[in-house]
Amino acid sequence: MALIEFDNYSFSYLNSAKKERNKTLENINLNINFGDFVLLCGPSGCGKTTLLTNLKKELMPNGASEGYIRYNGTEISKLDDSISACEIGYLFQNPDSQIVTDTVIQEIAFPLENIGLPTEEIRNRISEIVAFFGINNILHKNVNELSGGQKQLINLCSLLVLRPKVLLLDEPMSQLDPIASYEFLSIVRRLNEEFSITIIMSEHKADRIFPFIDYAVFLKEGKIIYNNNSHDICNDVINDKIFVNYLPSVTKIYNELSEKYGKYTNTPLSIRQGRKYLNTIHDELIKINKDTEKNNCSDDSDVHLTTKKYNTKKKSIKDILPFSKDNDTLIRMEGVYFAYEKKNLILKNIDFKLNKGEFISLIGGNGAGKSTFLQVLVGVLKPIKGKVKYIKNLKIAYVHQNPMIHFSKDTIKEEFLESILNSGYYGSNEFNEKTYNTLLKLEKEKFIESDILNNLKFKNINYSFKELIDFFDIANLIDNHPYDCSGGEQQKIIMIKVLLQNTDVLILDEPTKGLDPISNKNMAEILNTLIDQGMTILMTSHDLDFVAENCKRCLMLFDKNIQIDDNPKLIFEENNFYTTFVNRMVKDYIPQAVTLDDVKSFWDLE
Amino acid sequence: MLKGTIKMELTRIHPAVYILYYFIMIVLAFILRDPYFLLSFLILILVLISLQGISSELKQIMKLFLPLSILIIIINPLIQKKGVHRIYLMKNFFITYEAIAFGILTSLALLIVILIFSSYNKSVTYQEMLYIFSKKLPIISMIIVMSLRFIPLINSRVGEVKKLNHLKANGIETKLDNNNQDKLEEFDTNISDTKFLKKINSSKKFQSIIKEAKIIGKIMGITVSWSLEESMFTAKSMKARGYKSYKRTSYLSYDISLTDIIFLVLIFITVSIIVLGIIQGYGLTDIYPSLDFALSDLPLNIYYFAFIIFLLPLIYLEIRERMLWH
Amino acid sequence: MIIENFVNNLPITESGAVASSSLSIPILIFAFLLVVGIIYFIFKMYEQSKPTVESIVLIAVLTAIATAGRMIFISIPMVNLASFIIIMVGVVFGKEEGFLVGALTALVTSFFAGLGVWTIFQMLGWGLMGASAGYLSTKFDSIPFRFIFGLLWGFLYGWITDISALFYAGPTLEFSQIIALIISGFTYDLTHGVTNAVLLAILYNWFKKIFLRARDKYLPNQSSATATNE
Repeated sequence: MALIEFDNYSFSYLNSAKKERNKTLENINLNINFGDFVLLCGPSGCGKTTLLTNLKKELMPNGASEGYIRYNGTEISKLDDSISACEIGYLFQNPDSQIVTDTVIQEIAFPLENIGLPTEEIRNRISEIVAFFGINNILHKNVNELSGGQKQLINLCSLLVLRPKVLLLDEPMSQLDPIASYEFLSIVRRLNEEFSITIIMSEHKADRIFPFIDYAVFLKEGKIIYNNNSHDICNDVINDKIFVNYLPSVTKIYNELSEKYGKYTNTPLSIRQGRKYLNTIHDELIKINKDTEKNNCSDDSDVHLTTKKYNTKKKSIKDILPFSKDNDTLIRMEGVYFAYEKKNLILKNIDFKLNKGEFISLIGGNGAGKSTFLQVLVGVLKPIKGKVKYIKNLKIAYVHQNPMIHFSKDTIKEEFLESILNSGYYGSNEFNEKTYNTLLKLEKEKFIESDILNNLKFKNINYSFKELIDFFDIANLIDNHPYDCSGGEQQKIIMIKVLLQNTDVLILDEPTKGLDPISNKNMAEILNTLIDQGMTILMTSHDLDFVAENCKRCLMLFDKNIQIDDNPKLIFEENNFYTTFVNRMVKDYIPQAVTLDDVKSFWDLE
Repeated sequence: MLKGTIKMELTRIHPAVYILYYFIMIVLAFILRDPYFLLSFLILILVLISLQGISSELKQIMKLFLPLSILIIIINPLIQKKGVHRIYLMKNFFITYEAIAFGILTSLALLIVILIFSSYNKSVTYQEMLYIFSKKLPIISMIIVMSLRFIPLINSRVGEVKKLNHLKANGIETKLDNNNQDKLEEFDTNISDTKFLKKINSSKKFQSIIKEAKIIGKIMGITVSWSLEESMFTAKSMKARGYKSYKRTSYLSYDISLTDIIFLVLIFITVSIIVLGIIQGYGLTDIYPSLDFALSDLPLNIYYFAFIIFLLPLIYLEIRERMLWH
Repeated sequence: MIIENFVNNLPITESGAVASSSLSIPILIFAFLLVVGIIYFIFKMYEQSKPTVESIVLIAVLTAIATAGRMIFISIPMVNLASFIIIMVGVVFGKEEGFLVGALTALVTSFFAGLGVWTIFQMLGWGLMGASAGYLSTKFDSIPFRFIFGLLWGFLYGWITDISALFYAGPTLEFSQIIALIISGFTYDLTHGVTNAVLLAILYNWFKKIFLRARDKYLPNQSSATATNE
């Protein structure tokens, strides 16, 4: 018997107007066995979270359900309180908001106190978990001294002391940086391998997880579209436009190659397996390689071969001299030093020029000062020494890591109107306080269609207001509260606000954080369109694939300064560890291939 | 930061014993009105505090209460005309020697109580207080623990929002013209169109206050809505981990030790003697109508010594702690 | 001369002196225990009402916000955001929540700023502030009312917390001490009241919206009940 059985289960939220059509979950049939590691994938809003919360009695949302979910043969809603609390653990996305108490030991003890264990037993269990995870040194710390990864680890510990049989993990790594994510994932894997704890996890970044899972469940609009073991599901979705994006890069390369050179016993999921496959077709790859190399040498001298290194920090005298002028430069940082506290420099002697029309990304390890760099650049933080110079009448927009911080109105509509006020139309005949108030009262469709808005001209984009809303695809959200939107939608709303305010430069702090692959693609498309229309963009990111695919210039921060400043492709070509998954896989054959498209063109796989 | 980080490591006293001990000390400080008792009290408390480490918040509290004590010393003789020993300042205007003495003694008592509390805050951590508290009020103490966790979180959020406050348009747009800082964005157009406000707006006095209030209000408003939104997950996470509002246990346990018992016995014996003394009038000097006080009247009696012994245990433990470490 | 007139007109008859010294330590200790008892009783009532987890979290967050509002702007002493938040909580969430958040804000602040006799009276002062805002919540849409309410509570709060200082007065309570307290506290109380009034006048609508949204999310039953009443 399976541990968890979904038997034709459907669920719809109360209060939704169209009850029959709007089923959040529809006819779910799924069996999960003891010790399985299951990955849940799907675009945001597909019902992943609803599915997970329906497995947890205490979190079950208000709504109507049909069919059954059974845990160990008992229906979830009829589970004993203590069994549900102890045996099924639930971890949320944001590490900060789930912590209840102020010290680590108290947080770990919290669930044990809830189920009423005696003090002795509580201390025994804590000592056990502390020994297993080696967190002795942070046990008595205040939780706000911990890093994001440590916080999520404490949250996990706080579930584990209850000795759960099932862990439900709802995008637990979406708010963590890559290194913390790897650590977290390796712990989850250990729990699965060494203690046979059943894991059901939803996550967007498949590269790291696919090698460990037993099977994956792909959800779309509340239905299970694919459900298969990790190797076969890669075959199943090969022609699916949405879900093919959820596969690891290795598998994507394999899928391309296998059409031409034949299949391997199992679909490779990790770099290790992928390289084994490449070995089997080694001779043929070498042959293509030689051909392309010949071609490159003869007629395409622009492509940098391994002989040419990227620019490390080399300054010409022209760069340093303050009077040297460059017409395209919008912002200049001249010898900027910054520190929050005395003698603890974060940025040291930075020289940087932002030119018109560039799409730059800023990468670097955790705590390298990326966010600080942006905030100094936009003027939120004032440099201790050095200057940041702007050309006249420049409008810069800055978007914080957490887009929520930028909203203060009740509806998205009003947020837009506020931006138009700020754009300088305020007080003019076209737009004043009266129009603001009349427009606010309009209904959704009329608001989008209204002449006043559509006659406004925006500086950096050729779209009218309606076209803008359509381009971003948020027409149906316009009456909602900004907080009720998903992270990706919030990013989009901010971008529209930015465009409505006629800004010239867009500074984004981790816009791709926590986005699903589809939204990620969408974001890339939006940013590229903006670049085409003349916008200048600078963004930080941990997503190297995104950087490699979209940006033309990449800054790598290291040791308080800009270590590298060049085309991202060249950077990743030279790097061995800090590079994209695609590059890691094919490095020995074609080091200059950084993205999937590169591989395709080099190996002629279209 | 939260109190109670500097504590004796080698001696553990049950928080309830501490609370009892400090409570008796404060009651004594209210009741006793004898220069010798109060001065000895002050000296011993100062010794204890210097052993525990003088904290910065003590200075803060002193700043608030020093003006008050000075006012008491000055105003009391001005309007209190009881007392036999008159000192004429003007033809018809006199102050009394008793009233001055009363003012000084009152201020002394005030100082002692402040110092006792300061010492209490060093001895009993908030966790220990909550432990005692949670026996009777489990939900309220849970709320307190949670707010202690939220406060640093909210502080860091305020920090982020504050940074963006330098920017225009809800923090999206940079305001590059530094000379233009006065033109701070009106973040809410609804609030300025009321007649009443326009009236106030016209007065210049209020304008700067209103400007300040708007900036602070904007920072707080965004932080508040952000925090309220995120905390829904805190509630969910508590439910998911089986929180029910009744019948909780604690990971902490404070057992009664031998030290506690000795301490309690000592308190009991000395306090009994002191109370006996107070009933007979020792430790209470009558000020009004006539203060007849001489320095030579040393209170060399059993009640005074009991009082001194009552104040010594913590000092002894602190000194022993020091000796053991070196 | 002024002082002289002032002094001569003061009621310092013998009977007056007797009357004031009868307000001695036992009565003050009784008052203290009474306040402790009232606060304990209200806390206990809340506990017995078996609040939902959401309600518990809500009160904790609001308390934290008020406490943070007290501490963040500690460099600008005139700004006391805590009172404003507590009044808003009383208006939107009701008198019980207002009292709890007010009283707990004082208690939690004492963990940072040090515990003292004043703590219990701060709890009472802020608690009553929140509760009274809850009682009068219907009148808050009028701006002059908000202004007066905020100003008045600046002084009321000051006087309530000043009761604690009377403890230091010793066995006899003197009229002089009350004067000293009121004088030493006047400027503080005034700025406190003015800040309250200004914040209530200009930020009321925005914060009401924010809190109403929270009420709908955290306490769906309560908000639907009041919605039908309205």
